[in-house]
Amino acid sequence: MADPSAQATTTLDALPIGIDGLVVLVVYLLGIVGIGFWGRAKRKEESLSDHYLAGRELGFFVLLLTLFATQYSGNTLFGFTAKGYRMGYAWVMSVHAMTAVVVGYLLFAPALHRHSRDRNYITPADYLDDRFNSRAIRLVCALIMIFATANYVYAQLKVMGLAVGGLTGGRIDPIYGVVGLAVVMILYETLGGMRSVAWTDAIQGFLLLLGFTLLVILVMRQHGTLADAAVHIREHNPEKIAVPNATRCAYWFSMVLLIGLGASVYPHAIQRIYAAKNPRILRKSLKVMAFFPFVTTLIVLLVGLIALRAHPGLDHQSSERLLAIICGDLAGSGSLGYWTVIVILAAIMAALMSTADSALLSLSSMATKDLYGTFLNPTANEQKLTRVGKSVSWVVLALLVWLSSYEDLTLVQLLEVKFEVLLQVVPAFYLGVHLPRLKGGPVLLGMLVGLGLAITLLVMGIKTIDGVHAGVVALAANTLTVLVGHALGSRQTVAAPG
Amino acid sequence: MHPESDPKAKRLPIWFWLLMVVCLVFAVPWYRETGAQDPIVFGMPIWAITALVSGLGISVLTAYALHVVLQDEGEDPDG
Repeated sequence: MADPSAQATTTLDALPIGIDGLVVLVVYLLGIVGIGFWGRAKRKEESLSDHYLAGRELGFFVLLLTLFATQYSGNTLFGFTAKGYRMGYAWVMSVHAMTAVVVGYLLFAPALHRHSRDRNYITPADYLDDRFNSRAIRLVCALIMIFATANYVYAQLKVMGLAVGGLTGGRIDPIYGVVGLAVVMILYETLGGMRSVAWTDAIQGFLLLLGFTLLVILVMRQHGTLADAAVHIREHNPEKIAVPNATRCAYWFSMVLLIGLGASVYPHAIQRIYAAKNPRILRKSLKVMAFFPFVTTLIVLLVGLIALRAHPGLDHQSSERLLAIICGDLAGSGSLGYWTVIVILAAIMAALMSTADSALLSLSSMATKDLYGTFLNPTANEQKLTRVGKSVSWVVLALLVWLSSYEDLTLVQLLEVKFEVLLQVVPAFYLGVHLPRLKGGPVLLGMLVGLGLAITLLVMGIKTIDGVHAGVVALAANTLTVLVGHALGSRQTVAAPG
Repeated sequence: MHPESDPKAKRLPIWFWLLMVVCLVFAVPWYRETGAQDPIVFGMPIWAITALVSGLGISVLTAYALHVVLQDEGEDPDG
């Protein structure tokens, strides 16, 4: 989930997938479009709440699996396997980071869910505008979140193209792969909005869980257990099993904060909190989510560690292809392995599409409600806004598909700063629900200070300071600004006569 | 009225916070000697197992807190 663009170089060209496997994958995609039609049939009215929040009626299983599929993207499978291979046992931090996302929800989701029902929020910035009575905060928050979600969709599209190109052995140009999958996505999203997206996410979430489970079982069967790998790692890569140094520990803390806080304020995640049918369903879903890292990121780490023994000596670039290499091993090991790889590939596609569709839907809602509906056409009614929202999805997706066809886009480097930027809205939400007297001025100032510092550090090429991410340093400055501003404001209020 | 703090938020018991602090402290092996080679249990060095068990503790405590804090109005937390 973090750094999706880092995996844009991943290819699957090592996989010997036949026509039968490709047919299964195409049937799966057509089934997904079918769910789009189902979502349209279930539509109750042409309103923002129905289109973007499924009428606020998501039940337990759908909410759980859509939260899961949205948070665990294609990068969880590709990137985290490679990172586990390169970093070794210290990549246990990825399990902590994904757990931290749910801890983050605990700190603000309950209050936010109730306010969203009382006040009919559609977008994350609806809450901030209402809470702080500030259109400026709505504007800055919406721009930050639109940037972050556009980055997310773009990165998933890029990997989709490479995956399709690789799967077909280069017979299909990556851009046609991107266009094909984007058309599937936009079709079901336009047809049924959040209802279709959440239902397809549920199927994709199930496939992801199945893929993770099969992956670790077959990898252990083929390449030996973790105990075998540990003996090999201690002999050949002792630094990857030794207690990590102070800088690595600081990086560990920072990574947990970066992902835990950043992913908890993903706009599409916040909108799933809004869309929960009731607090009990939200509570049940989040309780289960708290344990998912142990059956997902931990499994991916184990696969990366076992691969250290099965495929030793891969350099950084080659290790990015580790999952493809492992799938290649499995596909050649008999029919069980072959069809498991098909499931894993469907899971990879599922992971890419479920993340991209959720982010795209969220982006469309923010562009429509926070920008168009607030600043450009405040008198537009719900039907008009919903129609505009659907058009925005098509235009934004077309633009991102077009951008994804460029190989060496310098914009890509800018897009990598997603989490660093997104983190700067954290104090507004977390402190907003816990400090009743907090005013909008310090929040806006803190957001701008954090944003400015994060961008400055990244433009200077400073990604970490003593292991701490630039975005986390900027978040500290942001939070400090908000708290100092709040304390000064409170003192003036107390001192003021009357 | 603008939505502000959470008036219905329930307080968590002191033992919850104590256990959470213990789990957070042991989640990252900052307290260990750098480069030490621990005994391996089930394919994992002890420091990694400690980190994972602490992480599991944080998951359990988070689930408990969600159970207590996020209630419907008038709902029995155990019901």
